[in-house]
Amino acid sequence: MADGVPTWEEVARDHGRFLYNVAYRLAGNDVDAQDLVQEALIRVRKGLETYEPGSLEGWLARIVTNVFLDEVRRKRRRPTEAFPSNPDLVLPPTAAADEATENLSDDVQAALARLPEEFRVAVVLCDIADLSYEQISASLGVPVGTVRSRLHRARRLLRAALAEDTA
Amino acid sequence: MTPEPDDRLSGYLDGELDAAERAAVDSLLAQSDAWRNTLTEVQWARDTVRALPWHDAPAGFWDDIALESLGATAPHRWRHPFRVLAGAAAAAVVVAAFAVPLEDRDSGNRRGGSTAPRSTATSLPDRSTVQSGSGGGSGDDTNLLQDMVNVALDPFDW
Repeated sequence: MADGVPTWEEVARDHGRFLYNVAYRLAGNDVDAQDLVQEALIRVRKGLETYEPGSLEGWLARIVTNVFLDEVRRKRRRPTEAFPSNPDLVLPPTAAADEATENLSDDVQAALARLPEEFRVAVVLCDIADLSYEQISASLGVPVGTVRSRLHRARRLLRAALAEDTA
Repeated sequence: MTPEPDDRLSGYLDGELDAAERAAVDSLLAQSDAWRNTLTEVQWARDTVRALPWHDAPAGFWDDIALESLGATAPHRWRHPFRVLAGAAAAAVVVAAFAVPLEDRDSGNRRGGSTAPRSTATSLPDRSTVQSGSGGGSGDDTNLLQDMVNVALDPFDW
């Protein structure tokens, strides 16, 4: 590492596990997580040229999140109905949600994967990547108040969804 | 009359409120069952996500990344395996077309035999046989992914 800037190999070796964990929690499955990580590492390689030493894992979390959101935007269709504004409304169950799961981790990941992407990103960046609201705000280009609002609604939806799954 | 519980509760939990906001929430929590109940719910959700175990990459994933970094002068953009195979097949067709001997083109320099196509794609692991790590997601990932892109955001201004 020169002047606090890691090499690409150091990033992959020392922070790859973190990177993959964040990617998996965003994507919800290993296949997409692998794609996210591979694309993120390409961006890391390029970004290291201008990287300023600071919170490396925060920087990595932002990169993989941007890759994820770029992919979501690429695939997104205009919705046919608005997302319900009532945070107490449980997310519609999917085939995966109806399956009996062996442990809470599977239930939580399934519920996380069913959140709208912007909500999921807020939860993952805060509770998995451990970023501050300010860091999340900078990553997503939204006000801190928006971060807090998304996080709060996401948590209420998760609670409702998990209560429904275990009922 | 106390207001409905709001997102200050998440800020409160995460230590992201300023002193004045924190004092206001403390007061509301002291007065209101609804605020306390919502705090309990939100805290449960936050702590549950934070307690998720690390999900590691499938076996061989990082070996492939290392090989990629050793073998490539510029990183390849990994695509879905089908696209990579399709691209490799197309490249092979092009190379094969030039490898076919051309009669009477140049009597002194007749090309023959086949030229091994230069690989344009890195050998990819067969993801369908990769074992997932601990804490893996539930089945039917295609439906989950489709659901994700189908859910709309609240269009209202935040």
